[in-house]
Amino acid sequence: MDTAAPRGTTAEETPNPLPRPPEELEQLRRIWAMPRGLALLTEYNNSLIGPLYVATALLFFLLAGVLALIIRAQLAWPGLTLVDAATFNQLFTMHGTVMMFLFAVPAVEAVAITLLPAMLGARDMPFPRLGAYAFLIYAIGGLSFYSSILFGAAPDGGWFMYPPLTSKENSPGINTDMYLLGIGFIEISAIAGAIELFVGIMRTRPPGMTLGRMPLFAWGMLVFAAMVIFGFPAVIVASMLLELERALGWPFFLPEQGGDPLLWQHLFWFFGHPEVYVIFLPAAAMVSMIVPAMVGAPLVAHSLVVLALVGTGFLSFGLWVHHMYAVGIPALSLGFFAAAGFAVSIPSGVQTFAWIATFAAGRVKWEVPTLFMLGFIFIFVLGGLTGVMVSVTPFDWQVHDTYFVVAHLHYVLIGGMVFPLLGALYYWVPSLGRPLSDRLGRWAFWLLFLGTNLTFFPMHVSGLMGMPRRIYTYPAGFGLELWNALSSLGAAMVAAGAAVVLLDVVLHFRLGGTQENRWRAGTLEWVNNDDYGTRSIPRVRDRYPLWAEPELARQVEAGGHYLPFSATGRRETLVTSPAEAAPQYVAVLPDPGWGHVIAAIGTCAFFYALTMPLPIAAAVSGLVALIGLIWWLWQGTDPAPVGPHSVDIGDGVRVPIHATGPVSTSWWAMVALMLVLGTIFACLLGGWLFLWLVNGDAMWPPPGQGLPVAGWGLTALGLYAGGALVMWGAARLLGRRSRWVVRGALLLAAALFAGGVGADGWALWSGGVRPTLHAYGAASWAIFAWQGALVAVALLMAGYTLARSLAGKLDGARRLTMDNTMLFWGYTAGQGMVGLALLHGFPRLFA
Amino acid sequence: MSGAAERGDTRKRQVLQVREVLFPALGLVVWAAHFGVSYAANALACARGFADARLLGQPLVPAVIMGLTAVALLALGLVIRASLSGLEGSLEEGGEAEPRFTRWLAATAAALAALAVLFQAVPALSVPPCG
Repeated sequence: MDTAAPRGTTAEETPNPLPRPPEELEQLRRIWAMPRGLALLTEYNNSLIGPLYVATALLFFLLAGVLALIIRAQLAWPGLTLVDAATFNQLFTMHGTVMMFLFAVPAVEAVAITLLPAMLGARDMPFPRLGAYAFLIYAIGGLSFYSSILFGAAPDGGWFMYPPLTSKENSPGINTDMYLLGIGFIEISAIAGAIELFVGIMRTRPPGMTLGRMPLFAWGMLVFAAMVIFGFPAVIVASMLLELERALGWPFFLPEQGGDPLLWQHLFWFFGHPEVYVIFLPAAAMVSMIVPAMVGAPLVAHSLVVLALVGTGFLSFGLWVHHMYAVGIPALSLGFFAAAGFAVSIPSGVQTFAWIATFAAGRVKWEVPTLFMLGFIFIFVLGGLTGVMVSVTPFDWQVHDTYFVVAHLHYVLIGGMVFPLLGALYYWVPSLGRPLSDRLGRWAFWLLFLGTNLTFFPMHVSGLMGMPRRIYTYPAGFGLELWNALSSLGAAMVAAGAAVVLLDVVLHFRLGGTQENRWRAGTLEWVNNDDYGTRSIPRVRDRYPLWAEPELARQVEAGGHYLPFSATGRRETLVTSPAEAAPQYVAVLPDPGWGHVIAAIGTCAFFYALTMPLPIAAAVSGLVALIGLIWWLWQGTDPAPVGPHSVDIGDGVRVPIHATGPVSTSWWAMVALMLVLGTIFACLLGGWLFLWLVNGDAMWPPPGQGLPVAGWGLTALGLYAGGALVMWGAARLLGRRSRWVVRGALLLAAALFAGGVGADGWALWSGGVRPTLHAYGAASWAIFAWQGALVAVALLMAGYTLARSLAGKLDGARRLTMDNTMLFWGYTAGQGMVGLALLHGFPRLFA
Repeated sequence: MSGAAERGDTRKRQVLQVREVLFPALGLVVWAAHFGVSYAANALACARGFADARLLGQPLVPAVIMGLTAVALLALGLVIRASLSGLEGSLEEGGEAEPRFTRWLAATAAALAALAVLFQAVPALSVPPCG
């Protein structure tokens, strides 16, 4: 490890001289003080939102666990009728859906929101209101979604909701819509959180924390964020297409009209398989943080573990057909996916051996977190081994859709996620407040460890004996009685373990107070911190800064490191460069406000009103969400210059207070958003090409439908390009020419885009392309609809930019709004041109 | 230094920083491209009846996949070479100041990607494309 001191200072010299004036701390406390009473809802501070987020995720874990207990009670013995078949369908669908979407993914995001600012020495994440918005729509939307089971309106098609089982014909109620709209928008929360984490990890690390010195949990969350950005759009597209089919009759998945149910499976599993790693990698990264602390030694092969995290993140996108081995895909294609399955086991193995070697390298503290780490390794290795088994195609054919797969996935997910998470709870709680009970923790561990194995190991046997998944009961006499009884007994043990954890939290956990470095860990989250984060922002020289510099925590807590004050008198955090973490500027953070709260409530109401379906209520809710969103942006983004132009943060480092362009965090967030949008678009293009492949050239377009009119397409192409160019020109002219020239350019750009989308749509309509007759038209109009939606957003952004200009909030220096609008317009124009090339060019050239 | 020159210098440093961050992903992007194109090529061959077609006397699908594999391995070799060039001393387990860690990561990620590409190519030699 590199322990060379940057900038010529020694460990004894602090970046800012000590002692610090007492008014600095008073100022920080005053600025970061949380509002009281009802106004507490407007607070976004991670020290409030993070624990609430974790608590909500654990609540959903318990709620989904209750459903599992009912399932196991029903299956405890043959022929039981505790619930009927229809209710059972809702139970297993909700159990899987809630565990995957409302517990596992939000839980790791929640831990990250709670811990990362402290781990990275940041005062808060760069877009804290986005994090608060993500939490609010998750909590409100998730509880509304869960309550659907009380009214018999819960989804009932399995957590992966395959059509045609979920088509309008076979599922005419709102159960499927509840999933498509309810879960679809909760994915927006996951993506918002991922963008926040991605930018936060890349840009708010403390000076000196290079990528090579970054804690492994931050690496895990960085990979997580990238996987969410590229993986989750696929399930959003799948949900949109199925909802369009159900609501408007656009046939994407109906074979009699050119659709194909396999399109859903491809899209769903392109999200669904990486989802497993989205859950596992952050949990594995928690393990890589906890094990070194529990043995008092650095993680063996730290850099190889980083490679394993990054490598797994990529390779996991080549595994989605693992879930489709039985659907008739060509043999060689299956071979590709089996090979990727073997390849991904290599980085997983690297991590496992690194943990084992670290245990061997140090002196093990036999505390509760250690037990959970060892339990994790045992259970996860078993799940990983059965994972390699089911990646062997012929074996998978034998056990497909049996309880063997149920056993495998629970070993992977409980071993790979629940045990690390509970270990993390016992490990990190002392860094937030009062520790949990050691005695209750040990009881919880043994009940959960034995219960998990007792529940799921017998399922391997019942699966190999041929017991299919998702049956609500089974006949006696097939030898399944013993294995199911054991599984149900184990489930009761797991429930007892979860109850002990809950009891421990209720009895002992209290936030705040002086945190102790209970495990003598080496990373920054163990430095005392408050609502303002750490007293000063640490200078980092090692992967385990508290081990390398034993005085560091004291120095930071005394205010001897960077930015021990507020330079502007407002909430702020230090922004650093992505690779070397060199200080770049001080970002001013917004004050608490109601905008994101109103936007969250409006968003939830909008989607649930659509589900009912109540179109007027949906429109009103959508308007409320939009007003909240604009208020949120108007209040706190791109503030007027406050305080000095630049500030000395310590160590002679002077940085500006304001930044725009590629160096700013908002530019990074916009690029991340464009990656999400681009992935959604790529999924739509992929869907169009897939349907072309299965339909054949003669049916693309089918008889009775034509090609979009080329002349209108070319017109649209020119107008999109023209609109983006004028917007680029407006951005260039800002601050150089009269404001009225810029405003005129904004209006001209808007007119060009509006004309472009009109010509784009008219090209399809006048060419005889119709969305309801055949998959060709449906897929073509879906691409156009997405383009139309983005143009609408682009026009809204232009209007917002114009309003900022008219309000005197836009000029040559204060120009984040203009720069972001210009980026978005460039993306929208590019997307439109690619879409036109496919819809107009591809059928003429190849079909 | 003038304001414009300073801005240009800052912009250049920013680009270099972003390049260093993205570099480790390059090898794995090559793997993803090889995977995606191989899968699409085989799917197209099966859907359009090219399963038994031949190219220069060789079965078409395996020949295409072997060609793609050769291109991917060549690209990965270049990534590894670029990662290691210009750095003095051996690149071992990291923690060092940048860009040494990201270069190390780029080289090892490209090596992992090369292994995955080879894994993926082998079935083309033994499994019938559309069987």
